Amino acid sequence: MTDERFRQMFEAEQARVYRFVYAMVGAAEAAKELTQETFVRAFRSFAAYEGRGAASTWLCGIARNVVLNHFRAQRHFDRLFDAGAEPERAGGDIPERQLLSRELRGAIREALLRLDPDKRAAFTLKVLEGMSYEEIAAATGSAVAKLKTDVHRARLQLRAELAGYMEER
Amino acid sequence: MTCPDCGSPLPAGAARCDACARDDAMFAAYARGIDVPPMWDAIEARLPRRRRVVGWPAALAAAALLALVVAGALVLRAPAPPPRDASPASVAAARYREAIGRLEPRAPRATAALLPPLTAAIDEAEREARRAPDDPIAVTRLVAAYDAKLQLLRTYD
Repeated sequence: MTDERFRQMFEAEQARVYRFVYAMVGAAEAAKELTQETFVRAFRSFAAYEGRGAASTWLCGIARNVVLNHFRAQRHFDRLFDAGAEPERAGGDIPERQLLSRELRGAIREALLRLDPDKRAAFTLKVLEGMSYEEIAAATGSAVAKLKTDVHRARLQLRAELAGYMEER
Repeated sequence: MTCPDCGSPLPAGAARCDACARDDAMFAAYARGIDVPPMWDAIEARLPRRRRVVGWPAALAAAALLALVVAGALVLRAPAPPPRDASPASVAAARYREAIGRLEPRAPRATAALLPPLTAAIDEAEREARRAPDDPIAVTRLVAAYDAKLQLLRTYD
């Protein structure tokens, strides 16, 4: 039964966790491996978690630790796994891909990678995933006031770096 | 009035500025466009195998062993190391507490909201086991409570 509930939680949350990890590391293969590691770790303490709080908050907290541990192990934060070589799928039948050009998607990915990891995590969870500051605080262990500052600074940095693209749109 | 997201001045009646709304729409579109690869098979292959269903005789034997664990747990509440002639079960209980005691002081802040319910569950399970030390269900709950807290601490360590 636990396995079934865990599988259900995986199905419900995998996209959010993967997108968060992808935004943190900027490379699909690394994001896939780290997301898998997140769920393997989550399984070990699933019995302890079950029924306590939002699964997304719990999982994003684990994912953040997995990513930061990985960064520490690699001893460098940006351009992990040769992020610049990341292939972007060509735009096609999906509206979002038509909306954002391949060039802009690459620029966003790289601009996110230039944020320091705390700001990147806070901004990704708040703006890309739409979590509340209280949920992010529960996931990251940071104070709400710090998170607001991080998101604010990240927003201004990203806006400055992407200004050229914004004007074109 | 200023924009709650970027602090720029707002026109009367506006909740946030156009620039922030435009940014958020762009980042939301970026997030929705990220492909999520299939991952379950690789995850499942790394999960511990599903526990084998045991028959009643085996379950009773396990319950008896667990009863020894709770007896040891109750005796070994004090932080002193187990005596040399302690039963394997009481040593196991002491090791649970030792492992928890080692990891808990360095647990990150992210666990602040998760640990208190687990600690409360251990306290409650200990009280229950003290009231009914021969009850295998109470014993099982106590061991599970120790294990749950230890696993969480290991996850964040």
